Amino acid sequence: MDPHAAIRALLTEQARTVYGPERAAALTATLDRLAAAFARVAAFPVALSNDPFPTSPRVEEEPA
Amino acid sequence: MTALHRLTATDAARRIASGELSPRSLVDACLDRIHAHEPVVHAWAYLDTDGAREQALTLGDEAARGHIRGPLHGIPIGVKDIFHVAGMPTRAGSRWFSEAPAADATSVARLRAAGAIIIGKTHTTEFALMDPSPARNPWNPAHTPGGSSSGSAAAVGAGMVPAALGSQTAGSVLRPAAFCGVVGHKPTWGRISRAGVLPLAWSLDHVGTLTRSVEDVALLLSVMAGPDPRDPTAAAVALSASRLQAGPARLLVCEVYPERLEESARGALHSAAAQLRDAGAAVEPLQLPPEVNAILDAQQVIMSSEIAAVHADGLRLHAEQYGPRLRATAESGALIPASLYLRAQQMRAAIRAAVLPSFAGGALFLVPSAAGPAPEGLESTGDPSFNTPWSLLGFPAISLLAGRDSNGLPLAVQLVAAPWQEARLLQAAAWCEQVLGRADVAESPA
Repeated sequence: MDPHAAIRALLTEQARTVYGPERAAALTATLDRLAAAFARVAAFPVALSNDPFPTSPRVEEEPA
Repeated sequence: MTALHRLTATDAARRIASGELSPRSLVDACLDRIHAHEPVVHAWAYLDTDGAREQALTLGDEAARGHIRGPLHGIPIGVKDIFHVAGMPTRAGSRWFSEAPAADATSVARLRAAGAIIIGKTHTTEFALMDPSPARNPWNPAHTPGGSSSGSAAAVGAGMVPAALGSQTAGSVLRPAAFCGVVGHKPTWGRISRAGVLPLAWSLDHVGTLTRSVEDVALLLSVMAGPDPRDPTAAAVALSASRLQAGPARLLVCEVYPERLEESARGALHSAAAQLRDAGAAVEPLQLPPEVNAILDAQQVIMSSEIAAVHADGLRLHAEQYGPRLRATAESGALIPASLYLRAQQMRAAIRAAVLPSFAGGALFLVPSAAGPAPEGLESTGDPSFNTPWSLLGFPAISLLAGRDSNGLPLAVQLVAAPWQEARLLQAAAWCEQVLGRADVAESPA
């Protein structure tokens, strides 16, 4: 199974458990798009870093 | 003489300061315009008609005595209904949420301290995501005004106010600005405090402005920018954008997502580039690094995760009263593992590092503001993809009118600068505005 399909299956199963089958069905298109993004983010190479705060644009960053 | 509802904030403020115009006349002109066109445009969630007139009288008396509170003395402004304004309800386009704030958002308080009159709250999509508001496009009410700052863009485009506040998490200021033919700006992430603004996704939310001139952008930015003890992300980085010296720039042109771009928007981008080149700008093609292809994925993961956290309690208590898009985004976002969210944030840093060298030598990006003109229909607010990169990366961006399609709907281009380079961005934008033409009022929305 390709990563997108595998993640979509995983997310759909989670949605059924957490929200019930009716809501999981309503989320089908959203979960499909999310699974595609999920797979690509998981495959994006990210270097190991000790940066304690990589999570948002740095307010202390000096102008380029 | 220019009709009062067509004045920019800067022009109106000059006239008020010189005694040529009274704040009451200006507020009355805006209210007349609102009352005439609101039944079609639906820009306003709340109007403080009496309060605005009362404030205008007070400010008029002060001006007559030579006391000018600040550069916005007597200027009516609309505020998107996710900002707290003391004395007005915050409803955020929600069916269940309503607050009566005792204090202004910091941005609103700074506008008031500079003399602005908050005339009312403008419609937003539900909590600033994608479930549409009642607002319509002033150039053709059968078309969306965009979102999420729908009412702010529609109100400025319809000449109801010279300026309004909006917010952008993906494309919520620049996209509606493009669709409504006005100037939309969101500064560097961290430039303007978000204190008192309902969050959508903390690490992505920006306060921005909708106006009809670049000069007004600089004016509002100079009033609102700066550190704030109520928002630790608001930075103390010097801003020198209050006085504009328009001048040509080095512009790097890119379609960004060519597969998403409609022919009318592609034509507007390249026509604008040609006009600017002929007028003296150095225009070159831009090759963005391959990391840019991951931007929409990282944005989706981060935004969905943060929305899930922001709305966890609201959904638990009011799920059935949420709109379908926000509910689906929050419910799906809650299923994202923390490790993936953090990876997407690390990606963001990597993409920033890859893109920043392209701004070397003070270059600016010239890119589409939207995939095309405002789409027909009110069920969707359009595609935010062309604005999303600069929201994710936190770079300042501005949308300028760049022509009209065959149906008369506005088309726009976007200028983007390196972080904290608002002065350079606005100087170039002011020059581009002189070449490409000023934003105008939709005189007869109908």
